[in-house]
Amino acid sequence: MTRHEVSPYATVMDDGQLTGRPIVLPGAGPYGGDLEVAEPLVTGGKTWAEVDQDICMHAERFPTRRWWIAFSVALAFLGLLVFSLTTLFYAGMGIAGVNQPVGWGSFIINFVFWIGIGHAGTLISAVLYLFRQQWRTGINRAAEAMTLFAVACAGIFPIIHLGRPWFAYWLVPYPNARGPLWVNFNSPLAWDIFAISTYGLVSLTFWYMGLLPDLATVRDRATHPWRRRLYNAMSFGWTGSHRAWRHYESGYMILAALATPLVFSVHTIVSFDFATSVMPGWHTTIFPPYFVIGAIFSGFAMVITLMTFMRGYFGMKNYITLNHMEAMAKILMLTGMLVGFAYSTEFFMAWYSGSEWEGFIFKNRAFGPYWWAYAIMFTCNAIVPQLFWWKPMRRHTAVLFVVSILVNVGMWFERYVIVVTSLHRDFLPSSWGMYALTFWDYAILLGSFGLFFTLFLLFVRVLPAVAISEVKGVMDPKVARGMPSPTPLPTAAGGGAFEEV
Amino acid sequence: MKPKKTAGHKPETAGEFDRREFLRLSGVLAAAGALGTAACSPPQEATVPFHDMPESLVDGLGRARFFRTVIDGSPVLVKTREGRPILVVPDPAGASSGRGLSARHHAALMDLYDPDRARGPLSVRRGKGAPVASSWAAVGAEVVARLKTAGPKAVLLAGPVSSPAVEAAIAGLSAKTGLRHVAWSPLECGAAGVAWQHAFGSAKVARPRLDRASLIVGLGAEFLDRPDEGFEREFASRRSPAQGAAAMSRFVQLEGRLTLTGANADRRIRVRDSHLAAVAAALARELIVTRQIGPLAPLAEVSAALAPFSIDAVSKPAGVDAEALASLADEMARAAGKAIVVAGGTASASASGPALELAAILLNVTLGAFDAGLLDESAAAEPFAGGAAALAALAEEMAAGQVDVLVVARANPVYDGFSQARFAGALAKVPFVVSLNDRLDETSASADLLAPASHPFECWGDASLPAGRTAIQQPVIQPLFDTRGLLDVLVEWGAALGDPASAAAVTAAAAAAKVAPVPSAAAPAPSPSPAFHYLRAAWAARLALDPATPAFDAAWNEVLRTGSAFAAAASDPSAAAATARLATATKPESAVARPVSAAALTLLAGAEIKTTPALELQLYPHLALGDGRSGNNGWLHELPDPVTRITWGGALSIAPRRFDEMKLANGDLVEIDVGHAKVVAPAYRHAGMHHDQVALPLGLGRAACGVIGAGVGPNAFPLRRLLDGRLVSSGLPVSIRKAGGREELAFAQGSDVIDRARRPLVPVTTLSAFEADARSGTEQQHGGPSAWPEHPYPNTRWAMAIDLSLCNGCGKCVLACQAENNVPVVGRRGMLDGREMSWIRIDRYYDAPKKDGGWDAEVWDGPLEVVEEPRTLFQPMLCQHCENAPCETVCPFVATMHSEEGLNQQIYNRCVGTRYCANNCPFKVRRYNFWEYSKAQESRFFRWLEPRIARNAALNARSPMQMKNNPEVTVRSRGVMEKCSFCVQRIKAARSEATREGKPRDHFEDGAVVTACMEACPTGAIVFGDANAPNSRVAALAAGPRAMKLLEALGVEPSISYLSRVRHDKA
Repeated sequence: MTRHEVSPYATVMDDGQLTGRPIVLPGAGPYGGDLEVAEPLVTGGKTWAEVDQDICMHAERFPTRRWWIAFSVALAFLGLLVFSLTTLFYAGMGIAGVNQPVGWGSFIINFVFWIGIGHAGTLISAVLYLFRQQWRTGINRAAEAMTLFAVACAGIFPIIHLGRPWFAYWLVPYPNARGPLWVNFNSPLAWDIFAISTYGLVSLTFWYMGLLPDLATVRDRATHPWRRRLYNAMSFGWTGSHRAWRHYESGYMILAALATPLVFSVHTIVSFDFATSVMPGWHTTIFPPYFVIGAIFSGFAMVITLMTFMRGYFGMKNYITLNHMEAMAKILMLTGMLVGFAYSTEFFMAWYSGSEWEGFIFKNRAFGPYWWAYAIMFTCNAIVPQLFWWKPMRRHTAVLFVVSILVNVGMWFERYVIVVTSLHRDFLPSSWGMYALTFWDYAILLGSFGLFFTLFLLFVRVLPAVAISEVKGVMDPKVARGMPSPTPLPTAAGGGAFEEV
Repeated sequence: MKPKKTAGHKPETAGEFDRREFLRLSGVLAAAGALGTAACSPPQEATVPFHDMPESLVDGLGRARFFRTVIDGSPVLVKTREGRPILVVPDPAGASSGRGLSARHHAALMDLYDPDRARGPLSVRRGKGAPVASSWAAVGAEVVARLKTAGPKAVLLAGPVSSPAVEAAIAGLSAKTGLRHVAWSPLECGAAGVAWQHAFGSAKVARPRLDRASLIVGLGAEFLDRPDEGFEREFASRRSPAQGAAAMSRFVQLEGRLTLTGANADRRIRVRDSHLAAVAAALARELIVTRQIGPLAPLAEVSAALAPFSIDAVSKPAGVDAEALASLADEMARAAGKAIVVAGGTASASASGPALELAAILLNVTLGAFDAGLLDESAAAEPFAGGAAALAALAEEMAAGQVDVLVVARANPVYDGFSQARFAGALAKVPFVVSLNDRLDETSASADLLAPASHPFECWGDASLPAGRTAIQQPVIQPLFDTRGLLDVLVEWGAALGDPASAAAVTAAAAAAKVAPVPSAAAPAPSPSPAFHYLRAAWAARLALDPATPAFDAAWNEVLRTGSAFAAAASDPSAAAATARLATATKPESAVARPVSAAALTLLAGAEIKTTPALELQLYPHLALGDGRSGNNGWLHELPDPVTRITWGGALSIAPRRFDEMKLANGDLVEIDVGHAKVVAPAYRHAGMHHDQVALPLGLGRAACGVIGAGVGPNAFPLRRLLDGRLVSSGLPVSIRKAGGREELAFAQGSDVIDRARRPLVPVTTLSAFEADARSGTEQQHGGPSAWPEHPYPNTRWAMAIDLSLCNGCGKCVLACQAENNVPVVGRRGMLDGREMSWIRIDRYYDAPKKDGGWDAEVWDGPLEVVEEPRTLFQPMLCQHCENAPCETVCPFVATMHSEEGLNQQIYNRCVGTRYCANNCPFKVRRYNFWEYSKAQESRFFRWLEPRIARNAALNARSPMQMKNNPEVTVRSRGVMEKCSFCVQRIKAARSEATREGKPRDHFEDGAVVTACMEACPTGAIVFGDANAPNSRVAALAAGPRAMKLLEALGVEPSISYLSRVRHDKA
């Protein structure tokens, strides 16, 4: 065998056999030492054809019972959203829990929450791409889709939280007959419009571009002429020629470079909604990095949640392996510690600044009437991810799933703490108040999950949920051609199987 | 009532006529129609809106009209636009009338436009079946017939009558039929009258002159809690160092419940109501007997009567610090000749009330208050005749079947009677009951007929003011419904029964109705109202002029213009109406050696502390609602109690320590048992409350007043007791226990306590500190340099200064702002939801004393050491119109921006409602329209789904409520932010006025623009004006040492300066 064929991909492993550690081949090194090779990114000894089959299958057959159940549930919540929004638009903001002094409530919390969720996708697809993290291929398509749907969910909230949502378009600066009157470029809410729409557009473009070769795959497998035509149109007539691939790869690279700063800018600008105000608890310089890290944290948690589903319900275990899950768990732990650090820094700064107002706000956050929200936030975000110091925890699907849910609960409460506790007790004690979600707040929050999962379930039904072409790129060609290495799985004891010829 | 069809032609099918034919026919039909209707009723005209508004009616050019009138005995100025009253303001000329405006007067528009008033006469049929519409003719005929047959077995039960004309009309009726007049006022306790009667032989109680006193000692005084008595201005006149620090008066209050009056005191001693008389007697004994001060000192009877009341003997059972009393006595002794003792208020309505009032008389005599002119007898109020004893007697007669006809006018004893009267049961025994109340209230509901009386703004009347002055009540709008003025009704009935004065008035009215109204400047327009003619005749007698002469017309017009007049005989107000008797009586060397009759001293026996109940109850009139007459008035329900800050309901005030011991939380239901009656009310931890006293407001819990106020709060009236002919409403032995359950209290305020060391938001200092450094109390952290360019303000710059030494926290600015700026009512649920809309509020804080190491978090929980002896601060809070307004930068729609004149403007059309500005407002003064308040949302489904939609419509959007709206101010829709505009419409009007008159428009003199809050403020605490104008008062105040602009460290630079509250600490 030639040297380059000594590749771990040649190894056929099942998901359950993965250890998360390199395979050690004693004495297999070029100079007789041990050779450590990574475990394969795709398990189960899949061939290219099987990859096509496994991934496209969901788009090609009548949906399963499981899908229908999940879809019905999601659709029911979407219906709840539509009904709640109708009521909201008819009756006005009165039905929500916001009041004076807490002028922003669950809608803004949900907005920041969903925008945060939307961060992981582009981070995975663009930043990890630039850093050549090949494991990203298993999850990037779904993560990007998650980003888009999360941004779609997030986009609803700034509009519905308006008192007169039918005038939301006034936020867009375009030549108009109203004076013309422009938006106030001093206002962070105006910046939000640019930041989020840019992020949404670039993410959509990036995601769709990545889809092109896979759409062509679906087209090529299609049997029905209309299906073929549809997917052909969607793939822009992808030919798969070398020229197409060359343009595609460089374009993809450029978009990745473009999308990368957006990952950081969006949540930075969202954080400006708070940081540029005069309210103690909002007016802090730590917010941009704090928000970005928090967003990545919650985004990865959501990816873990979704990947658990995809592994379980859609049989993607061979593409989204335990090693993928472990890698994400590590990121979760890192970002969790970073947000914990941010929480602590805030307290330090409140003390160090000597500002009476700020000192009070932070004491009030942790020990005031909303201590429970702060406790939930701190526990879920800074303490629970510490579980992942233990490798078995990182590789335990149920633990991962629970932690990922807890992290998102914690991250929702982080925004709750920021929005509500800062507003509910500010400068003048006379105007202090409390805030509570109403039925409609809950309905709209749950409804937004309905929208998200409806979109996501539709996505896994009609589009390749794993990036076929990219996954194929990280497979061992030998295995993928259906010619797996005849050698048995090496063990530490067995050794010597990968002798150089 | 079905609306009458507009006279005019019936539309024809156009195709069958040519144009000329059509017009001719139309003309004939219209003429016929007009002829047909003109004979029997005033011609009805269709209202056609202007296509192009005539210039004189365009906003800012058309002028509002102001009318002087009187409501419930207080002179007011009513602003009308296009024939609609839109604002009630204090009559500037009425300041000297000895009457003030209470919240009810400011909110009278809401009563006028109340949709739940009866729309016309009703046959109520004793509540059996639904009421049936009736007519005035039928009602009049039946009542007259009944009165004729009943003779002296007919009784007129009327609320307090302040109108001489009404009294005369009633007397006329009585003369013809033998009708008896029983007066009933639920809040009248009469203790002062009893004491004065005993002491001086006259129940006329002299009026304290608080503006002349250097030391005011209040014994349960409530002069600020009852602003219609008109003491606010006099009290305030010496409360601010602006009027001279040396002349500042000191006010010491002894009371059981922290009242608004007590909250304004420099020193406050907690004494429960039933012990106040003993404590007052102890003070009297200390001064008269121990220190031998004043004319009473040599009198043995006085010494003997005061003997049991040594400070030592009283202080222990009363639980008052003996040293505190001794030091107070010292203080009073030093201030003799400049000190006045004011008793009264609810404390006088205790069993020992007359003793308390008598002790106050003794103290005033001792301190020389009579001699020094601190008690003005010329302005003494007429004693109230009738009252509880009369009502009780009437109820007995009724129950015994001795009353055949009962006419109820502006009285509601089924609601506000005391339980011994058992009025509702007695009412059933009366064969015929007619109610002249304005709606189907508790009493009217069990009447035979309801003949609804008009609102005072709709009809003629008059009112006697203190010092022999009489005010005229002129209508400012045609009756909105088929109602008639009380005087009209009485005069008409009187005429039918043969009263000559009434008959003459009715004849004149009938003649006037036949004459087409030709208004001219010289003669008043003839009015078909009999009351009008009755009044004119009465006033002709009062002014001693012949009504047929032009001189009378001129004088009459002058009365209408000025609002009031003195009777011809006593036209000199400055005449020393104070009787010579007292002026000499109080001097020991005078002929009358015994100034206070010895018999009076027996009253003091009532002061002795014998068996003391463990806990006593005080029932005090609700500060906004008073006796509950205006129970359907949303503005009044929503006006926060200045001290408790509770809206929409009332609570049982419990002392903080007792409250904590009982493990209560605000809103926990408590059963209040006084033996003869029980009431369940939510509990409230009332700062400064005496430990052994609880208090509950009266005037709530109306069962049938309309959909707005029905069922709000508990009705405490049945808890009162009749004792020796007086109604006792404080010092009632009571037991309370947890009843289980909660009723959330709708507070208008978040946290009560402020640690000013950490949050220097209210400038407060003491007189000694102020004299050392005039800037004391205004210290705060300073901010850094600003990155924003400064606004230039080449011309006008609007600013405001609020003197916290003058502000007493009454909240009338809140009501005036609400009326002026079309601020909606949000209701109890809205307050609970935190959606209050008022543009100005009065923050009330309890100042936490300095503590080593600071207070930390617990200060917000109202620790006992703060709330047991609270130092109350009031601070009007409204949009600060910041220079660097945080709201302006964050609005993405540019809906709020800075004007060239320093106003922070809100552009409703641009506002889309992100609420970011409100979040970023450090003062939390921005108000958001969470609901559509101004018009009803009709969808039945959503009204069912969200009952708050229907409730908001009921509170704000029922015809004719919209008529109260000020046409100069936009009515906001939902989803829009709003806030104080510094009454920008008035600024614009002033500018238009200046343009029209060719005056300079770049600067405005003081007084050119007066904001609604400034206009309503009885003490002049609010000063608004152009700070750039030469000699601007507001600029001078803002530059003065007492001025503080809030949150300087933030760099927002408010346009409002708060002048420090100076406490008089020099005992």
